[in-house]
Amino acid sequence: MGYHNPIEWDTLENEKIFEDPEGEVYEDAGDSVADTGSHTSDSPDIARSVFGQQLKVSGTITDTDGQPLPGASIVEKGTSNGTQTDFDGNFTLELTDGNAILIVSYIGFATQEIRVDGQDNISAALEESAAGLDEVVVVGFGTQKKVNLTGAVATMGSENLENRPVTNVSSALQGQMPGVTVLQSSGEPGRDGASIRIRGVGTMNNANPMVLVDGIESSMDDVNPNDIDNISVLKDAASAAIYGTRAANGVILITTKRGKVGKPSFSYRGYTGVQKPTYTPEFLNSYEYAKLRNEGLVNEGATPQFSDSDLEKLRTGSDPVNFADTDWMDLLYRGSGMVQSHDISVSGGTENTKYLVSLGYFNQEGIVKNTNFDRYNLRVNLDTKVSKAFTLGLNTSISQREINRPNGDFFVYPHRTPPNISVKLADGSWNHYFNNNPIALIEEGGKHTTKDTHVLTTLFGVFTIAKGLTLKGVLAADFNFDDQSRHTKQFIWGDGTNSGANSIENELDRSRNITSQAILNYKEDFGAHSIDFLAGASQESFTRDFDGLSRINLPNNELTEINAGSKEGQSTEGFGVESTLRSFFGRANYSFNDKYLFEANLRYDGSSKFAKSDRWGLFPSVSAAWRISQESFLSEASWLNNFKLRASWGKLGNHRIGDYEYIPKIATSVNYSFFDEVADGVAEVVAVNENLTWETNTSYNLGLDLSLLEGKVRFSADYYNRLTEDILTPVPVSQIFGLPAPLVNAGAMRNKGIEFVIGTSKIQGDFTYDLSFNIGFNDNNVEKYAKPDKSNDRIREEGSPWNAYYGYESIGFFQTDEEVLNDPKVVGAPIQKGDLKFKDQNGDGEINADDRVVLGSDIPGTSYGVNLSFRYKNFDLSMFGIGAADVYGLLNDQVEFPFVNGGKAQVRHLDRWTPETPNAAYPITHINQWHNYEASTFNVRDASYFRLKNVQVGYNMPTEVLETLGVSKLRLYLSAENLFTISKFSKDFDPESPDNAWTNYTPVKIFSGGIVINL
Amino acid sequence: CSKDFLDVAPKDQLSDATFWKTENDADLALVGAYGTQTTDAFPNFFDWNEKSSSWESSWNINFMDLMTDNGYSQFIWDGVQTSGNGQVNPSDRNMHNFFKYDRITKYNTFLENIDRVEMDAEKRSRYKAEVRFLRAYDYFKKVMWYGDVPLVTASIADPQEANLTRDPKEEVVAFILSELGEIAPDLPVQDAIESGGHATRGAALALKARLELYEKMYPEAMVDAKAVMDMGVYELYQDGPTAYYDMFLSKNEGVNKEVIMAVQHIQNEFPSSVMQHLLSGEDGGWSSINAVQSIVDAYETIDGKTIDDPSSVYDPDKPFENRDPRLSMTVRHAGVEWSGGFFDPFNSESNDFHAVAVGPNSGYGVNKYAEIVPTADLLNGDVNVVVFRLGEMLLTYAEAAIESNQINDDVYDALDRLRVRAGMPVVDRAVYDSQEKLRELVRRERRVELAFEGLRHYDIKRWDIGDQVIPGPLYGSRTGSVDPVSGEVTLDDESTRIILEERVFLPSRNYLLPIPQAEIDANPNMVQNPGY
Repeated sequence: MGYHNPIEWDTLENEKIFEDPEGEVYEDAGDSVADTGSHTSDSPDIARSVFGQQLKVSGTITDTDGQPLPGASIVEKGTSNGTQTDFDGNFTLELTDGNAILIVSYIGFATQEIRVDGQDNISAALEESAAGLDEVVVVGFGTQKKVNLTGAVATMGSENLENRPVTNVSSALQGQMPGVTVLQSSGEPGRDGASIRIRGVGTMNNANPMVLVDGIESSMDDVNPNDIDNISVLKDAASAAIYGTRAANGVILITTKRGKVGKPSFSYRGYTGVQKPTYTPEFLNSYEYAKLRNEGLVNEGATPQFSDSDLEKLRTGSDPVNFADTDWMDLLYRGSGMVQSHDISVSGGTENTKYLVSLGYFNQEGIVKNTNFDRYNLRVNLDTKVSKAFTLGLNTSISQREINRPNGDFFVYPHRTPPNISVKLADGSWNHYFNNNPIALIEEGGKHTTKDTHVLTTLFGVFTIAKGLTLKGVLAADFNFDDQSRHTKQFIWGDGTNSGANSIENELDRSRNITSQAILNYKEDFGAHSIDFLAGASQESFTRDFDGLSRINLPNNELTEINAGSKEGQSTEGFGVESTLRSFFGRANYSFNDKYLFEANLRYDGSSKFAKSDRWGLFPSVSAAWRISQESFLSEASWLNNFKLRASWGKLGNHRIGDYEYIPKIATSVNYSFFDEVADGVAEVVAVNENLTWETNTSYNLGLDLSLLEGKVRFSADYYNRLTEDILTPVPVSQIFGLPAPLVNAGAMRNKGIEFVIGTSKIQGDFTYDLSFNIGFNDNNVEKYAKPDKSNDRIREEGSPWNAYYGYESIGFFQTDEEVLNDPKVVGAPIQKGDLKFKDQNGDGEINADDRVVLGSDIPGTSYGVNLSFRYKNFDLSMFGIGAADVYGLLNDQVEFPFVNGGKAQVRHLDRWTPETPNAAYPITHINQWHNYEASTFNVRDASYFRLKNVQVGYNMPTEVLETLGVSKLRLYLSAENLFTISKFSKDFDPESPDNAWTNYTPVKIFSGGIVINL
Repeated sequence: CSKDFLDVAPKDQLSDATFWKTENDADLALVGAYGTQTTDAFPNFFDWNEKSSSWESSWNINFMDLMTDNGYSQFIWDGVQTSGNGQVNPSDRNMHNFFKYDRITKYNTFLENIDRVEMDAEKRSRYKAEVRFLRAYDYFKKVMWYGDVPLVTASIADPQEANLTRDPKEEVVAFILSELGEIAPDLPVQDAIESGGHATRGAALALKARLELYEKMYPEAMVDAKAVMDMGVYELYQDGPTAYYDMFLSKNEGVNKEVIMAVQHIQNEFPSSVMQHLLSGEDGGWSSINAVQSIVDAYETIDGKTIDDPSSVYDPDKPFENRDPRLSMTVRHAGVEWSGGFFDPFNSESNDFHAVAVGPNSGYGVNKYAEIVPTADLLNGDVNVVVFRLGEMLLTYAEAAIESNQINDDVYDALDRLRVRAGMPVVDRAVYDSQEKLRELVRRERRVELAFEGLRHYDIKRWDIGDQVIPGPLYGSRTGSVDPVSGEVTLDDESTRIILEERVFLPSRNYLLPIPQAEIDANPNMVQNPGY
């Protein structure tokens, strides 16, 4: 809650006006502050003389971290006598009664009542409010009190990010909010960003949500998790409509921390830890491998590869070079796996100028050698009050991410290279298998380096024109410089052959996004009527320039720059694209008595991606809420803090298609070779649909919020129904047309679902807890798709979930020759006993493509998160679990079956069909066979899981110790990320990344210990 | 201001509105007609490759014999296996390339717009003739593979107007032949070195002769083949005893005057992947292309007799000895001199072992075009792959003459020139003295001379011998051992003979490919070929 700071305070009006960093002005009814209307008619002087001696009390108000809270309110209960704390959180108050009760309040924190009991020094540490009634959430172009929200907005505060060794922001979102489905399929340092889907997959095209950092569209990967104050996810059309054409797949608003009024505060956060793979497949040793391979060859009528004497050498290890037993997985995981993070920040401010400066360093050494990631972050957030009416702010963040990895498929080949191949020959030189040795590649095969420098800077000014009327101007520039370099070294293998020429390949990818906005806001209360109008205009221009260059045959493996390579065989490429967007938008809020709430949004967007006639789109939304708990007939129900019903409807757009798609073009580089030289050619290679237009997403949302017993129990439920139409999809066109058919706005898909959040907490006393559970159910259905496609084990067809697995129903094995002969079998595939038997769904006596059925989707239908945190005095324990259900995963043939395409075999493959083991887990062993590898219920498996995502134990130094140390907070903690997973999917593979099993770097567990020091 | 801000245009592509103005535009468009945006390494064989395809792909040449009794494709994803064993079906995503009309559209667009360009008139007429040649070549392949096909000679503006019906094969053939006849005078008389890869008069007449032969228009085929033979720019490549092997190597491209037209490759920019598929594991290759027993048996013995002739020097246990030298120059069998030693597909410790994934599963690799290259160049080759060569014209002339029963010295001479170049005796005029015997000879000669050059399927079809040569088990070598020092091959008994697959062939079905299912689905006017 650190982003709002009181700038004006009037206890008599019992009303606070705050200004948030974006300059939105909002008001708080201040109902947490003491009642002022019923003080006694006795004058203070008389009261003093009658009831006791006059008393002056002073003290300091802080948050639980010991940070002073400037501007907190201290009111003597039952009177209008009160004051507020200064910049250092100190106050002095003359009491009318020595036995008075002080009411201490601060927005976002639970109000405390403190008995004076004759003390003259009273200090209090306020706890952040769990009740949420005062909670302010960031919405598009502003903030709103949570209780006044009419749409579906989920939020997550910094407390859910702190102390977790999250390597990137996207994976930190996992399990935190219902309806926000996050899949993390890789643990590779720097390349472990997760995919995020909000309320299902909303389109057949790019379904990524829009991400804004402090109001500017940007990237999530470059944000330092420690800089984040809070994250809002705008889930429904009503809350997202203000972002129009890019909001159809949801909007994620990231707000960073800002300085607060008060003395400078310094903070250090650091942790270090180690990583382990979540899952590791277990491979056969070379003797078992050779035996099983021979068995597979014999099963196919071929000659065994290993003779008896070969097998004996493998068994005894007598010839470790030619008949090795290499544990490639063990050799793969030889990296230190160390991870460390250090962050310092300094923040503070006067009434006129507030600042926050933070510096972050994150380093992750992979569990595979020579894979590593460094991230450097610098952030400066400034707010300056130039005059009473004019505030200027500047946000600047600079980040650099550097990722290093071996150049090439270093991860997949240790999973495929057979154990009988030695790593090195007798003389210590590298051995190779099909011109490849993954360990040689990792250790000295060259380097693939990515350097991503990102600068996002925003200048904004807020001018208060009149009471309640402000004008805000924003100018932002987002620069991205992505440099990649691939250096391939040449291997001279031990047998004298070589791996090919060395080379250097560089890519420079630069993009720039310039945004300018002007926003006019009017906000006023008229008695019971509150209005809030916003009107704005914005434009964005995006450019991207790409250049690639490469040379081969550098004089040796140590040189890594282009100049060292040969001009012969060099190559270059380059392109640039540009797109622009101009928008006008507005919002109106009206509320009556905080009881009946209405909101309407309108956005009008023009995009350069469409032809003039189809360029502009209008995206409206309306929403309303009824806070039943504010009704007089419920005024007696003091246990009921909030009971609200919400309803919303809105339309959103998606313009994320390629650039220039409507413009007829003649492509260059349609080249050929004449006279042994490259000749440049051109041709028209694509057909154009000049009438391309927006995808539109129409959705409605019904919601209910409930808060009971001073917020001790919270409950929310939402139902949504999102229909995306005019999705750009292929339509069937005869090949005789002769060009790839242009995409047309012809697809439709619907997502509907329900979401629940339930929570309970106890926030005061020695023992506190906060328990919450969220769950979302989503149902995806393709409503219109003109070009059904059932290839590659997936189905894309009306009436099915988008891109679901599609294949056969496996019903055991062919057990006898009679079954092979007589039972329906796959046409054209040679079948033998022990092969998989598929169900003849249509009963036509043969198994062909018509017998396939939908096998399930890899996008979870259900995802949930559970958060349990406890605190006893200075100790705390928190556990955070996530899970998914109604989700399926397919392990591809090379992972699921032995020996496929030159691969090896895993221990689980020993459990195979033989005449003696007719009920084994796997079919008869083959070297290469197609039938069993078809997608079927055999290899498309239930990938439901529950994962203990994070466990953390912490200790906060007691105040007495802190005082002697001169620090305001010192916390030590131990944390484990991805500690364990329960899933029946596979004991060898992570259920979250089946499709990428062993082509992608494995997800990791992280065990870490950390420290937080605040001065 | 608003207009300008939202109007953006690509800066690396030309605009349709401003193109077709200058001679340079015409040059670019001509190259574009031949070329492709993809490299040729994994070209347009699969229909998922939506990018524009080049006029011809080396894959279409090097892999085509694998669907005949000459060879075997051991990887199903290479797209030929199901066509070989008869299982090909309309949903097969492979083999769709020939049906694609992207090239036709490109050619039609070129021909419609080239007159807008201000340029030298002679050059314009040559450019037009080149593109009309390419269009004729594409339709030649379409009628060969599908029979009746829509004959489209103008670009189609609206996708909905593309739902055309099939035109009779005869009309398409007549169109091709008339086009070739019309354009031949506009094309230069040049060998492939001089033309640098462009279409020439020789290429146009070679295609015309080929199609006429296939259509049993023998007198016309004789005339056109003879015209190419007598053009004066093509010569059999006969430099040294291994000329037959050497003429396919890239180092000889500058001196080989036998080539009439070839798919041009250049490293890095437009490379060939053929070495990756031809070589086997020890050399970094994948052994994608296998020869089979039937082609091995087709070669005569060195004394000019067939192996089933009891008087020949053939020894079934030493099947590779005393054979037509073209056998070892075409098929990489056990004991062939290779890589400083002898090729051995029987050594289980080797990556050439027939039973490993990258070994030749049949026991026979293919040597035509094959040479050891650095592994980095396996997919990055510069060898040009021959589409037309003089050798084919000699055989076309001989066959057309024999079928016309005009048997004279020219016929024997044409066959002898090829045999002598290979190191074989001249045709025994006493044995091959009748039309029937000569037909047998010319068909065998054609099969071995042109093996793995992509023509066998057409021959099987026009001779209507599919159900005789295709069905049944597909055999590879007997297993055995190779003496690493002497190269002597010792074969195990007949029971060890490798069986690769069981093939079926229905003449009513398998002479044509199925129309792709996607086309049937998209185009209500499209009728499927029989049997599919």
